[in-house]
Amino acid sequence: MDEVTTESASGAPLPPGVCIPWEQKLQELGAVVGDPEIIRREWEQLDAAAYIYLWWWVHR
Amino acid sequence: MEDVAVGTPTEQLYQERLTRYVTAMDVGKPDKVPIRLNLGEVAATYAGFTLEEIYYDREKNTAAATKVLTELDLDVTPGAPSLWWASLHDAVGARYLRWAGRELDMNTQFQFVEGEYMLADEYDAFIADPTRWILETYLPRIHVDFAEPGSYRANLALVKGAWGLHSLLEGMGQDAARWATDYGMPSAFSGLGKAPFDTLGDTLRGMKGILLDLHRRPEKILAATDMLVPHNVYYALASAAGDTLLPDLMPLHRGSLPFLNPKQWDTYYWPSLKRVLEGLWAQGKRTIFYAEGNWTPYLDKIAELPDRSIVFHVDQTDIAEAKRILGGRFCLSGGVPNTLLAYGTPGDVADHCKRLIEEYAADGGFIVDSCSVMQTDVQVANVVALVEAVRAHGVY
Repeated sequence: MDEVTTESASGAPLPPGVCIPWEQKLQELGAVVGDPEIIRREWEQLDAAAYIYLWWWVHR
Repeated sequence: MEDVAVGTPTEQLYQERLTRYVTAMDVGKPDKVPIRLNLGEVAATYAGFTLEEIYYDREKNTAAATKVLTELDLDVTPGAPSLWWASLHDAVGARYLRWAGRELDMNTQFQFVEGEYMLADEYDAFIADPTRWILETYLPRIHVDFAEPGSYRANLALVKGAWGLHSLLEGMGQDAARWATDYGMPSAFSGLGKAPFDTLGDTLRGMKGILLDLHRRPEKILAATDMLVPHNVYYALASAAGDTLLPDLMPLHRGSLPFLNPKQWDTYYWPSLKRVLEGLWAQGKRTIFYAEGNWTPYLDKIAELPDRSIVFHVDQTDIAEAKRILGGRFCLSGGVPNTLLAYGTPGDVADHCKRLIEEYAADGGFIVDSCSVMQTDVQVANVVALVEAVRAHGVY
């Protein structure tokens, strides 16, 4: 798998709550035949949960 | 937010307590002076558990809090007495904590092992991509089981750590909901905030590291605290599941005297903290400014914050100065010294609480609490005396 970008599509650092941006995942998925918003929403929720897990060890 | 059945006696009690608490935080005068007690390990003593039991056994940790809130006339609950679940830390091999029952006597307070868990030359990597740095550099360093990412042991540490944290947070939410629906007891806060300088100093660079950084690489501290502002705002809201009725709890450490001189405080500690607090308030989230130690010289700066955006907690800060500078615009909390609760008599505590209410709570905007987290040195009889005194003398 290609190295995950550490930047958002605009080139700025990733915002809080984001580990792997949806735009990166969408490229990996290729063509989406249904509603991409449903997929995006669930991806971002789980991605944010991973972010919380990682930062919990810092903010404890 | 807790979901309490409308119209029942429990719901009425819940609303009565919540209204009392929020009114005070809005600098109003409720029906009584609210009581919010930061009951730490003393709750284990109260419930008859050892510290090993509350650190390791989540059911007993919860049971201790339930016993306290059903027997003492409080207005809000801080939750279970142990800050952390020791088993979760064991699952990942956390090297920075020592636990009762493991390497410490079963009734000895947990011990945090200070260290430079972020190295001095890692600021740039942390600033550029903090989440990646946490996963690839920080966690392998602080978690023995995760020391070799990709190994069997490390993969298990990730699985157990993530599942354990999910289980813990889900359990905490269920406990809060149950306390609300079964006992009419609201939570004292939702979400955890941090000052960016404390994020660096508490768990990453350590106290020695960050205090040396002030002299050796101050520009890195500024860059890192600037980067941390949106992350700390996000985390405080996300850890509250978006709730904005209750305040987040923000324990504040290195901003106390004597860690920093006033110029250092003004340059490195306050600006990023102020932005976090204002960022939260802009989204409707108030903060319990849990000012551990003495913040007296900084009260004028703290007064720059928007009205009602914080509850200023008095530990060793001069309470008269806090009242003079912040009173009327910000709620104050605290005021009952832990030394009194540990070494005084119930009569001493009652007298102190009566004076505290007369001098600082008469016009509202005040919540009685211990000055700091109540640990095993506090006498249970004094906690009882505090509650009784505030109920006797704290009716408006």
